[in-house]
Amino acid sequence: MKKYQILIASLLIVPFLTIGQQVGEMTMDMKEGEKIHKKRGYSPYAGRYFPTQVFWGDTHLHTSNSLDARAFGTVLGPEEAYRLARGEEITATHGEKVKLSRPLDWLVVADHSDGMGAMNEIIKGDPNLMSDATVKDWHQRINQGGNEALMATMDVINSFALGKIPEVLIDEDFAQTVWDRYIKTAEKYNEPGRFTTIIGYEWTSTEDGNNLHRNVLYRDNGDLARQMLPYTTTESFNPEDLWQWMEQYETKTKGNVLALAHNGNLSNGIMFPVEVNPATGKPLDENYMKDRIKWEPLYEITQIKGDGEAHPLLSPNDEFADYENWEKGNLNLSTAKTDDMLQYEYAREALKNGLKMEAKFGTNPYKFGVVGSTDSHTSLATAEEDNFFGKHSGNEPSAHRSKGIVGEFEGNKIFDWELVASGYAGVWATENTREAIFDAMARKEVYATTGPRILVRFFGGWDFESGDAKNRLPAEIGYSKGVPMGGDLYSAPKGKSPTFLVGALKDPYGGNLDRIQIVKGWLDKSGKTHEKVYDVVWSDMDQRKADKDGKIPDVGNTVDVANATWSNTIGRAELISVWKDPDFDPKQSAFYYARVIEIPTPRWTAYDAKRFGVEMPKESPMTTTERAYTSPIWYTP
Amino acid sequence: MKKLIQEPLVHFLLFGLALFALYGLVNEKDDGANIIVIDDYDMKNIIASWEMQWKRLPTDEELKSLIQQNIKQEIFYQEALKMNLDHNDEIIKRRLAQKMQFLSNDLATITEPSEEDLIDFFEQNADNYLSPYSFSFYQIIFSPDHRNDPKKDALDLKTKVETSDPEQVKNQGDSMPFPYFFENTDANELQRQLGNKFSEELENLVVGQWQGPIKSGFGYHLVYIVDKTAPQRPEFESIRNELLRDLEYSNQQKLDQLIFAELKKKYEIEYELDPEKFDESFVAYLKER
Repeated sequence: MKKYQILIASLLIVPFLTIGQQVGEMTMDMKEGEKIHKKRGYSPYAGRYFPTQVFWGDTHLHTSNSLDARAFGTVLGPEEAYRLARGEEITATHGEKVKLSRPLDWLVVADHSDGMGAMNEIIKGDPNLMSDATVKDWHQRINQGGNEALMATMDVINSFALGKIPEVLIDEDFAQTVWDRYIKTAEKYNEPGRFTTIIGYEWTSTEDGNNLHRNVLYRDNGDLARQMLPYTTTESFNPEDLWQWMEQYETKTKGNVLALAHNGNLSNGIMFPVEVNPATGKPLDENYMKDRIKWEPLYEITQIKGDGEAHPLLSPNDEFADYENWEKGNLNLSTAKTDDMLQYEYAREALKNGLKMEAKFGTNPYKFGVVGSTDSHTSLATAEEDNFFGKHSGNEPSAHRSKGIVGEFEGNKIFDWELVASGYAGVWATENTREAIFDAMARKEVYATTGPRILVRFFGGWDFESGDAKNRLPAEIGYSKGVPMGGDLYSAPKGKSPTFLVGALKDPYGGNLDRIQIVKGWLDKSGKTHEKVYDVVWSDMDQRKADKDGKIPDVGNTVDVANATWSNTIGRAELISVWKDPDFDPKQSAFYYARVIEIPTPRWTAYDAKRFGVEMPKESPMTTTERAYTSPIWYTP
Repeated sequence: MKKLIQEPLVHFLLFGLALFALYGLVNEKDDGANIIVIDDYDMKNIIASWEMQWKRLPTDEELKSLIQQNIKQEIFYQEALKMNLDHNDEIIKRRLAQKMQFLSNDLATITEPSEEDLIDFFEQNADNYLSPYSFSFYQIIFSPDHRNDPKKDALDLKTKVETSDPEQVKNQGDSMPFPYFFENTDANELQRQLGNKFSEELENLVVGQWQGPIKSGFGYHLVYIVDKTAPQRPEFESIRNELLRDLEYSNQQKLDQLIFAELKKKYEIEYELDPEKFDESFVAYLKER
């Protein structure tokens, strides 16, 4: 009986506890939680308070307020960004008309806090005002356009990276004016229930060119957000200082903020430190770990500058790990990548290391959920292969994209064709409001896709059985028998292994689904971490049988690259299954997340080649296998 | 009016006016005794901006210190002006240029559109504000996940059921995670769930019989429409905020161009460039509008 009670407790109460523990007070309040998770009566529809809908958005869009975006030529501001995201047709910087295939539900315009709005001035203002030699030089070169402008913009980014920011760009009054106007616009476009504008900014720490960027998102309305200026790297490059700022903000305003990092792949080994604190060079301490998970419940796992889930060198047995990784160097390419850096850069490895750190220090700093976002600098939140407007206005659609360069440092180059048309964030929220979306993020009931709006449900518990996959209300079963993505399982009941209900429905506009996998990471007795990717359900299971190494044959490929088309004659529209961990050891801590893989479809480069009649470089991939990554569910003994 | 007072631009304008007045005063006295007046208006401003930031009133001590700061700033500012330190200072130039820009942007919002303006704007752009199509319908999906020729299977069933009551045809086709009956679902929602073609096709179908199959992102559907509502023009009042926002946006765009064009008329712009580096045709290109 006692065990039964514990089980019930772990299913029903634990989700609230963990929410409270991990992200402090900024999570959904208890009442909301009770509503969502409460025991159900007879009628399946009565008291349905759990999230029944995914709200799609982008946590990471830059506009002309961002120094580098403006330098690259973007003339569109937050107003245009919101208009496009809510479904309107607008004109992109280079004059091309653009519209999303369907609206997004919410958007975070997250401009760089450093020099917010300043670049607009440099370009627009009287050239004579540039008595600062550096700024004058930038101004002249940026206005020359072409390659010179690109190089100048790289210089701008570098100067920020090195903390050598001209005084004229960090004037506080000016920042307040820009911030006030930003907030005013966000308030104007926020329509709860229809389209939500979440207030936010990017803290762009790039010391020595190594990317430690964080986006800060507000649960609050403008009246609170405007009370403090966004934190900048003029104040500090160290994330710990950002967390302090967040603490101050919450204390002062009684509001709520959270942060999410991105592009560990451009951090050159310092995004997910395990032993040494990169900021101080000293061993990581418990404060770092506690603060990190308190303030950073999410990580942006995929975006235009590379997919950060896994790396083939870290996951040699994962046949899908080699996907759109950027691995040439740090953000400004000033230091080349070495293999030993990778283990501190990718999400899966960080999730594994988090288990190790928890065993040692009692806190798992990397117990994060995941989202995808664009990080586009065009004011255009485009992440679809057939509608991709690039990283910045220098690589908006044109024939030039077959030859263009995104960044260059001493011969080390990243080309336009390497840009990834990724990603979006799916949020299982109870309604489309700032509060509900933020709360879902805080409890990590969110997931990432590389662009397509694949619907993914993922629940973990002890009692899912195969029949549950046939139920037409999987959420009903999911919430009543387990915890959703982002949740926790504790203390396995004797003789039980964790079971997972996982289902995915293709994007109605996108490719069919090849398979759903569950990725498991765990910590063994000796303190070593492991990972394994399990194929859980796939199309044509009766024909596609695993070979002796357990490998499922490829789903095939229907892409006609020359015409940039494909047919959904392979794969499935819907996949759903219940999976039980066959290798479970109740004494070992573990995490599980689902990865959904689409059939091959044309990559944006194929659409460009077709539409502009150009040839893409031989190295450029022309097909892609888009995917969704859910936030994990953790098991703690 | 209260809203107007909180407007930073109004502060700026009034502050600017006050400065002008002060400047006049100072000059009149021919560099004699300079006077800095702290009046009720200044106090109100100082207190209001404190309150905005700290959500409470300043204490007497804080207020005094704020005033001292203001006086110091004002004195330095006045002296700096006398020394022409504002000339060719990039920060000041930049700020002033930005203020001009903000001014033009804010003019659009500061002069609140009249009721007639708003109504006119609505009349001219009514199409942008139509509510989407809305449908109540039953659907049966035939998914390629479960059959080789879903379209044919759909057609076969259609010939059998035709005008049958939807309640009699339950449990046909395939099971997918969306309902058999969609009640008062608008085109936007259908677009999200099933793709845009689906709702577009529904528009052309009649009410009260099984039709199709029509294609969604998931397969072929037979549909039985019970109710169809064509796009409606919303009540003016219900979209007032949206209209206001959009009109402001449109005015802002227009005004910005207008003001710049007007101001530019007052200036002659000449290019004195090294013809070796920039030939005539390039200069002509620069001069293009």
